[in-house]
Amino acid sequence: MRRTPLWLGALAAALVVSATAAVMIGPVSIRPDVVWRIALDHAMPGWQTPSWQPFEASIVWDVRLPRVLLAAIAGAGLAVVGATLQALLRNPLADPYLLGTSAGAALGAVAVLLFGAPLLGGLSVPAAAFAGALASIAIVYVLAWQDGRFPTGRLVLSGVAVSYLCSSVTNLLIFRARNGEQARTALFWMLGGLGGAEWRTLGLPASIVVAGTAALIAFARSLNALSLGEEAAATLGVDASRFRRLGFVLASLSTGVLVAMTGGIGFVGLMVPHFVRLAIGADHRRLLPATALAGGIFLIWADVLARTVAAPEELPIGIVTAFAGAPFFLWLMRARSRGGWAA
Amino acid sequence: MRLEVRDLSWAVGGARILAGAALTCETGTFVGLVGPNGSGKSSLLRCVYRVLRPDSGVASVDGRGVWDLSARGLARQLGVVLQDRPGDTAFTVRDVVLMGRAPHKALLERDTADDHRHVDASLQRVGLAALGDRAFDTLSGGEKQRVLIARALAQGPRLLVLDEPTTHLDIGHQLQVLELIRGLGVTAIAALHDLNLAAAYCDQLFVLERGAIRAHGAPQEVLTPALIESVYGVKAAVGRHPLTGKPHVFVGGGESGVLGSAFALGAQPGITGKPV
Repeated sequence: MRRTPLWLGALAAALVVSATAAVMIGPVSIRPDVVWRIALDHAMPGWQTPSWQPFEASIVWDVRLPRVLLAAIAGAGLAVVGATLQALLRNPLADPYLLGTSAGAALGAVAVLLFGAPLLGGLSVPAAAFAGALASIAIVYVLAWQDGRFPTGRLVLSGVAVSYLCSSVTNLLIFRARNGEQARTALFWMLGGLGGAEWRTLGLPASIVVAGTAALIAFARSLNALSLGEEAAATLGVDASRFRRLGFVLASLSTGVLVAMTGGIGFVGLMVPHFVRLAIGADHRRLLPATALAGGIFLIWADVLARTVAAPEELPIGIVTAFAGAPFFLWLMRARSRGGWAA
Repeated sequence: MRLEVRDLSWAVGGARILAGAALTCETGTFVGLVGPNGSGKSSLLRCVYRVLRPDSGVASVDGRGVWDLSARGLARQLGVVLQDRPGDTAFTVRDVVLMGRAPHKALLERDTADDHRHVDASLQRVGLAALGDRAFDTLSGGEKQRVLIARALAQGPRLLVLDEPTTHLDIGHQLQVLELIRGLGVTAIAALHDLNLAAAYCDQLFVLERGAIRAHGAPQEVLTPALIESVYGVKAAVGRHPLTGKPHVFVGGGESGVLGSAFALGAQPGITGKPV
């Protein structure tokens, strides 16, 4: 337990190093000191004497940095959502992608992309994604609930069913789209990825993920109690059903806004919390911050791989995370059928 | 803390699970709740620890109805050991016991030295001071049960409620757990299956049958062959334990130990519910 600050410090340092490295790596390599001086120059104009080429400033500030930051935000958000769902549903296979939450968010987002909802302006896609995420989580909840718990089989099957249903409706919408240009936009968006990262669109996901994670950390004791069971939580003074609703709304908010920004990125929410749990244990007061940092690091590197492996082509990042995630998922299923949590 | 249960009634799906059950648990005593499967033991206890809201009647602690208190307020005075033990967690023993402090903590409050003292003392009392850093999942059934008792103790309870704390334990661990509860000196009420264990450790027994208290009193007053025959539907003789002198129930004997008629009478409310 006393090692916790050490772990958090190490992870925070690794996140900074990873972000720096990710900005350095690309068709044009950029030295680390240049990366930082360009970033500082924008943070505090006039402090640094420019010794870099204008194109370097443009690559760092306009292209790579927002993308790396989006990767960190999305990775942190998805991993925290995964850890939260695993506690709320008391099931280690819970993950926004596996449970259909991401597919629900995608359906909401595509519906708005195709048919428009000018009411909310720039917020309409994230808002629709949030609504889709919340609706799909509610459906899975109702389908999988049995005798006071969520048996793994029912949960995964319900998630897969909802996921397929949402995806097929999404595809139908795109297929039937009148406007070919809009359909292309929706299809391109569906592929996902962090390529669309821009400074002006980072604010919303950043604030939702930070606020959502902070709120969940504040309620970490309740998450702990609930992961021992609904009735156990009640005897510790936690109103389980009300708290669970709050948790689902927070999880849907993060998932919705992240899917709206990046499309569906799978397995981050599944894998990262398990590895962190192995390292520092299950207490959510340390698990959640550590999971956020580790998720950010993981997705930063997944994105580096996605854009360098087949350069100059760029792989959808979902392929990279699935490559790591699918075998992990199978391993976890096997480990669990032998009766362990993840170890 | 004095527990008083008055006229608890609760029905679900047309089946009356509790039918005017009433009992009192005086401060400092260890009360055993016995009765056949489906007689409503767990439901009665769930009404006490405020997870089940009865249709009528009230459970009160020191004169205050449990539903007049908040969940947190009650959790600061009442510790519960549930029948189901959590499995499949990555928590350490210490993590689990520390959760007992949750009802005493504000939203962002950190664990204090006082919390850790409570945890240490609780682990000490259940004899697991050395296992704090072990993973909860790696413990034996008896150890897990003691950890859960330690968690309830860490709440600083004035009343302990235990729902069949000895199920799934071997006989040695059954004795150990009951010995422990008895030795705590905290007012306690436990649903128990084994009449002999109940007789050996409890000050008072309440016999629940079809949702109502059928008999109560000191074990030697309550455990009579007639009562056991009528409630459980088995022939019984009651003697004395040669070592402890406590009442000891011997069941069976004769051509058939089971009195066939008792089940025809419908000893289980779950079965006597409305026909579908």
